[in-house]
Amino acid sequence: MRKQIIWPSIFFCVLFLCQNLMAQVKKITVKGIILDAATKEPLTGATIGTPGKGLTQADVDGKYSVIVDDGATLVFTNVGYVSQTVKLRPGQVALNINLTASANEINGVVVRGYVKRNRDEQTGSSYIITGKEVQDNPVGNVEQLLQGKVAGLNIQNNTGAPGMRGSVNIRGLSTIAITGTGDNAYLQPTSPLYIIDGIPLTADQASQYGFDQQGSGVSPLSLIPQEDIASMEILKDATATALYGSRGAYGVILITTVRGKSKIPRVMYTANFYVSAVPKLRSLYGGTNERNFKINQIQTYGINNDKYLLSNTPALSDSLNAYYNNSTDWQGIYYSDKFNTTHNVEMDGGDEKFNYKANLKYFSQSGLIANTGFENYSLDMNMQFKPSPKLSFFGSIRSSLGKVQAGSGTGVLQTIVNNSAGKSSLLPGPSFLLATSDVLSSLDIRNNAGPKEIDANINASYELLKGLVLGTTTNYTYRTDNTDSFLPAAANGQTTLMNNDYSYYSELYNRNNISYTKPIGNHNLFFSVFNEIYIKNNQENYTRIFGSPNDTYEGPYGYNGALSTGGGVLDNFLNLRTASFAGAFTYDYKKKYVVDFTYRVDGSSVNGQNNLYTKNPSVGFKWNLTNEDWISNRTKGWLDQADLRLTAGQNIYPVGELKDIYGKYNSNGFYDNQSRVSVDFDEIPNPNLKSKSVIQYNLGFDVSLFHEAVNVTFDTYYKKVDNELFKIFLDNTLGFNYYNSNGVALSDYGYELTLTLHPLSKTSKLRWDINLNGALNYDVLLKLPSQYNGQTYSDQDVTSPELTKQYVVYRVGRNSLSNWLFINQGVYASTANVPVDPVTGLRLRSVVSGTNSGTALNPLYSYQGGDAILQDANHDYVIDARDRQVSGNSQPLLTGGFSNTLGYKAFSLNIYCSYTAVRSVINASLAQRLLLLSDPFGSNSVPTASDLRIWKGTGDATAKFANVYDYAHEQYMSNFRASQTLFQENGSYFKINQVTLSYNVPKNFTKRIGLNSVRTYFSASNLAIFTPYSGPNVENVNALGKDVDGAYPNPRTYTLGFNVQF
Amino acid sequence: MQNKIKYRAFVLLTAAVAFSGCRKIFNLPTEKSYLSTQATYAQKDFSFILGRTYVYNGVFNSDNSTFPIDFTITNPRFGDGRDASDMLKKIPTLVWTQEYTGKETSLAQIAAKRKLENHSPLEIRGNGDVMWWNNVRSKIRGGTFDAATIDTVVYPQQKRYFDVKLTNSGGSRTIKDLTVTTQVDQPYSPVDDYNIYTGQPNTGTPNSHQIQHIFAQLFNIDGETTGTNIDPHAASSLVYVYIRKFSDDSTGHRLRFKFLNKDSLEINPKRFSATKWLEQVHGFTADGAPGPDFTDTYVEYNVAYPIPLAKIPTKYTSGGVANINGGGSAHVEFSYSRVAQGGIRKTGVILQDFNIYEPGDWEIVFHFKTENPKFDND
Repeated sequence: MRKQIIWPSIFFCVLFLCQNLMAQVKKITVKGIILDAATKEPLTGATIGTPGKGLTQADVDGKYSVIVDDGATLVFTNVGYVSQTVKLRPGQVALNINLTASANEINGVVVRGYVKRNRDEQTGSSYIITGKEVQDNPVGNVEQLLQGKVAGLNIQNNTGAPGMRGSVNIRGLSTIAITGTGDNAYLQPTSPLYIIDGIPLTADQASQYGFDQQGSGVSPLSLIPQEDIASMEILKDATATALYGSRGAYGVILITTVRGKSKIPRVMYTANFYVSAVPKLRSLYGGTNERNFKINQIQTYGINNDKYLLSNTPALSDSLNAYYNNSTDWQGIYYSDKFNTTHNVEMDGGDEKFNYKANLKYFSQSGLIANTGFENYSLDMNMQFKPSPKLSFFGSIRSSLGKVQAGSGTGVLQTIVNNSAGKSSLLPGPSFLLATSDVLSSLDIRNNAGPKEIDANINASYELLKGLVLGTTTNYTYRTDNTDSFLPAAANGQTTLMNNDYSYYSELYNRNNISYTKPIGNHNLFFSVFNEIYIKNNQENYTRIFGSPNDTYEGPYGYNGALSTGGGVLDNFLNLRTASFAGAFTYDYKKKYVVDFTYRVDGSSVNGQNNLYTKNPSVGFKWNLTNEDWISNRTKGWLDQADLRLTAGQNIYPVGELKDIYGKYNSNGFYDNQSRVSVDFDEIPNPNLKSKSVIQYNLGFDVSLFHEAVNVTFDTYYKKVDNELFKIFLDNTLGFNYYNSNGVALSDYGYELTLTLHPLSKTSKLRWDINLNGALNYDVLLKLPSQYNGQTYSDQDVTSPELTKQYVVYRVGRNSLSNWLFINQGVYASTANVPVDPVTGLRLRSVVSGTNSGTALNPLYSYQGGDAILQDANHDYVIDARDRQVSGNSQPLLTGGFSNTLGYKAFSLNIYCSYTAVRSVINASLAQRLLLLSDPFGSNSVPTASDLRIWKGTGDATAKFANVYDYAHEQYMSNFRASQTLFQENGSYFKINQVTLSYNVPKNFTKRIGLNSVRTYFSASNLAIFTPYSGPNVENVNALGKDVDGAYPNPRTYTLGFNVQF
Repeated sequence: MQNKIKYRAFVLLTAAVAFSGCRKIFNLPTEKSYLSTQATYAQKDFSFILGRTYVYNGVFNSDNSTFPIDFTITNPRFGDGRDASDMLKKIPTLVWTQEYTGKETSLAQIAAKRKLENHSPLEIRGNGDVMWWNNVRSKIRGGTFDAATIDTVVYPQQKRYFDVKLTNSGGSRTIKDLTVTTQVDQPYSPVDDYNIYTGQPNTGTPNSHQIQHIFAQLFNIDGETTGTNIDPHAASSLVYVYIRKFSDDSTGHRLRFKFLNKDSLEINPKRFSATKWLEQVHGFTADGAPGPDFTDTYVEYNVAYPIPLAKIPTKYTSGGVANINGGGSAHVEFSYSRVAQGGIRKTGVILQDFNIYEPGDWEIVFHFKTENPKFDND
């Protein structure tokens, strides 16, 4: 986008200035080449001029030729580079220039409210990432490369599933809505709004995160080729996002794709060859070791007739039985290293009057887990046409085809694989006849799934009068996503199973705007008004049918309705219309003081009839300190630039569904040949439903010191999320069960700091850039519906707890998402240490199912030496659901990253790290692993536990984990329930995201083989994680901070890439 | 001067930036414990037999309020407004300090597991359970507590009312008008021969003079004269059980078993020769060794009360250790074996489940009222 303004302005400058040249007398022709100081790549399009005038531009090889006065001063400028001024010696006709990339985040051109503006006139808080930073590491989803790059943008790559997305939050938590239960519980995603070349992209549905059973789970973001990205800008505060208001409440990320900018057509080819390596898997006992372990366990701890049962368990007692005489590495069957390639071809060309680009991409990634993977084919094209300086057209088409294989899991969870990989090593490995159905279902399920998207966009603008621009944009996106899966009969109890899911999504978007810029002396005025309309439709159909003729024929679908077990239209049906009207006014005085006002009225069809429109104002103020003479005079030499920003404003996000406002009607078949349709009595409609609103205050400053050697950006903010959708259950005396209200509010406040350092001088041969950023965010729950009196739970069924379930507590005044856990205080050294009820004389008991259960009086449920000490909060000598306490915070307080780039001549080394600190993670994976040690009769493998401090025997007071080997007792005690503080661990980590070493092949060599430039690089990503956490991967936990057993592991990848320009 | 002001403004703004993250500026709510407005007692009327310890489990529905909650009993009164604070008076009470296992080898060991603490009869413990301690006795049984129930009909003026105040850091609430109905002691069980309203012998109905009895359970015991199995309920071979005190010593700790023949003369307990005397009662000889002291007329154990001591399955309770839900009542089984007609060996058993709640010197008497058991071989 930046280039869009720079280019025409350069163009006009050249046009105007050429007239003046006529008057000059003594002329010389200066020739030379302009290169990037770091990469030695030619800087096509760099401008050459005299001070205040642009004269010409460099061609595709960076060469230029300009006619100037002898001994003139030349100024070399290029977008994104520090400009350079050179005084020609008399008679000098050759001058080669190396421009260094500008590290100053403060200057430049940005787009706000779909209109290009100068950055120093902007009051809002934002951060720009160049396209270069998201190359060199092939990923299914470019978003994951933003991790740790922007202060306040918290990205957790919590799944390694190809094509899936992690969690993304800008400035902390924006929701407390939790959907699903058990391991399938997930926090409602609050993805920022993506705007690609001015067109909003919807990428926030749960089905696009792979949480759902249905649908391919592929995010539309995965369909954007990373090579096609020119820059990304992250807008954080209310003023920056104000004009994207109708869905901008979670922040906005602007993506600008590559534009044609070279008169000579260019062809760029990028190839990546990479290996995804399996992370460290669970260490297990194999074969005899497993058998001996289990037998020994039964001999030691067996009760009742266990020792007799042992002789009837052939897997343990019949070691000579060939069926059980194995040592199968089940993990090795499912998890293996994979080799993948991606290819991208980009062709572009043209000038400012007409330019075009086409990008063709093939991406393939086989998952670490057998039978999973993601492939993407995309073709993106755009072209810009400017027949006259007043009129311009821009058109683009993006089309892509994704193909995903999820095996037997949903997108992000691979429960079946996880369970199968934990099978006893004594069992024989898979073969079609021997293996069990879950093995077959993982390995033999046939999937054909993935989204197909086409997106067409046209944009026109016309400058009616000087400063008055009319513009219009229309965009249509159509996406289908289908999943056909076929499970062979042998894998599904002798009946084939076919799942068929089909969804379509369409979005029509139109925006018309008028903007007017008027400088009056030192005062600059800018007005803009626009309207915006969305029409979105989404429908997903699902069928599940049993029984096809045989395993070869995958169909016919639906030939017998009796074999169908449900389906129909799923509840993510959408028919949404929104209409918005917005106005913006900016005033600045000599660019010293900038004031921004915006006002936006948003109407949405998912708001209640009584609250159809939301009014969203914002105001921003900026003081460019260095534009004040009295400051710049005193700070000359060390202060390059400084400004102070103060903003406030509101944004919204529609949260309701049609049925929340209008209710639902059910079809109840026919009676007396009359169809019966009746009101659904589950949810009562709420005509007052509002959109979620986010009010944000931001105070920040930017400082650039010592000739841009030190750049600091600091922001502090307070963000209030109000009108959060929340279900309110009604009294059972009323006809309806619940309604959706707006009764919840939460807030986030914190600080963000970005530090960019260039410690070496600009003339140094060694280049060194450091970028450090961090964000500290606190969230606080402000309000719950009044009847909850300040606390409630994510799951209503809390009195008879499922011990593996995660119960999230919402408590006003505390961080919004806390866990509700049993407090673990160690392990009882001996039975004598267990407290005794003074009333009944009974030892402390564990009641697992319900508070009134008779188990409270059953001595088998008594605690004994080697059991976990759980806090008896209510002093009733029974450990039950009521003893749980509010604990922990699943959202990180501190996030950020660190990037270090060293360059010398043609070599460049980049090390990039990210960190997340102070959050709690429930290590359910460890709990699960321990339970595998407690099931000698089961058909599970036995993990090694030598690294865990398990109770050793009477008197062992320092153990951390209860006596897991006493399986007969453990079945009563549930000592390894995941919902206890023992498994709530510190989820902080420091991760080396990526190390890249790149090399530019020398020009003279590439010319010889007929290529323009060749760049090669080696990169390793996801290299190492440093953490106090004891689970398998601290990042691979869901957004609620639960390390779910069965999550898709994050691979470590090693990439060898080439970048060739013809 | 102007610059100075501007510098000051700059310093002030910097300070504002630095401290704006503070919680106080945003006026955020403070965290407090949760006390649900829906928290209440699912059961509000409680009935206790004096002399026994009760715990009404799970009657308080906390609606997931945050424990610990402080429960305070307030406003104790009778239904007619009279003061009922007698149920809140602290009295020394035996409480457990260690778990009773049934394997203790002396009375001292049992005593060491209990200690005296002051408790009021009515208490509410940390989870809201309503509790009654066995530390008061009704006037009928020689105590001081006014049980005030002399009939099956209980009038409000006989009931004790109280309110419960719940407090945690989230606030406090009062749940009103819970009631306590106290019944007179039933010092032992079964109480077929005991009028549970008056403490007098049970006559079945108020106007009847027919004394009710506890009948023993017998197996394979033949009558001396009939030669057939004794049916304890049949008029021709009645076997009564009396559970009664044999001394007025309120600190007594003896439990005797006696067997009377139809002439009310004692049968030598050693005639029940197949009895496992060590497994009948968790009692000890006068010298402190496990097991009973024998005389020709009775066996006597030195015991700790109540019997059983706790609801924990032991070899002395009905069903034994294997009965994981047992422990509620003690169980005795006296047996002997003889060669019966036809040369078959018969093992006669007389058995009884019982509880004794009141300390004292108790005896359990099996009275062969109309027919003596046959001990001799045929």
